[in-house]
Amino acid sequence: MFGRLRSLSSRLSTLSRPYLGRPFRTFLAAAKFICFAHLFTKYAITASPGQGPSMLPTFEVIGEWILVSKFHRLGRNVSVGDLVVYEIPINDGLGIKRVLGLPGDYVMTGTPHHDRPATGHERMIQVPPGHCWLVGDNLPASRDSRIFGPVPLALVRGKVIAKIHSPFSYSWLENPLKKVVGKE
Amino acid sequence: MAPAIHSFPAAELPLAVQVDVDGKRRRTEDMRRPVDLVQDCELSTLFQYECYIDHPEMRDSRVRCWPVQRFFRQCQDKKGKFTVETTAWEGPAAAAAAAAAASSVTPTKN
Repeated sequence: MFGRLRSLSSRLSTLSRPYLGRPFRTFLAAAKFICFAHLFTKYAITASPGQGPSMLPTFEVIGEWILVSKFHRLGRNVSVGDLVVYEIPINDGLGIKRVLGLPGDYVMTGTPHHDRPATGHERMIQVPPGHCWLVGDNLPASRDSRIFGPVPLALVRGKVIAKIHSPFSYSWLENPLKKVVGKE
Repeated sequence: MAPAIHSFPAAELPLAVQVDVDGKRRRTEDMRRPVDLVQDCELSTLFQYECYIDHPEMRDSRVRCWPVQRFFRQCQDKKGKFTVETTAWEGPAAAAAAAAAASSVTPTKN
């Protein structure tokens, strides 16, 4: 027991030796680490907590974290059906929504219902260049493009690639848009 | 702020898809005929939901969800792929086609 503790403390002292009594070197190493962490979370991958009822049942109201790929920032290589993190255009927050339309696509501006068939009178638009159409999975509780219109792709921060339930439990997210039949 | 956009009823979708985002007529592989949403575009679907929390003030309240099926047609013109949401245009017919396609898949026995 004491032998193990002694070897652990000797390892720690070996690791910290380059920084002990060298404040400038320690400061430089910390600055490098902070810069690297900033670049990594801004341009590669980041994790953040999500909350709210607008993405039920894909995400719980509270208690889940998401893994976001920043390689998809500004809507790069994003497809219809993907989940994205975006800057909400009508306030300062960030949101998670599903992409239902990209520039040039055609989308329904209203809300479909589970118990009412479509009539053909629903309004549609063509998504303008440089924009996307975002809608939350929980239709009655989501504030999205149905309220504030198409969202500039410049506001897309990244694509949600995984859901983190706990530090040791996660699940990758797949695009749920599936083909029904081939060409008729 | 998004630019002003012209909206149209879903029934006019077959006509609306003939024009691309720049307002020009779509160029298809076969220039002689227009884009046919049913023949030229593959039908896809995804589910969104109508969820209600029975008691929002309680942390472990029951959540009830009803699925809302949305339909999309993925088409191709000379400039690339584009997606058309057809939920409002062909919703019931597409739902029937999806149900038929799902029931035609027989489970394999190991």
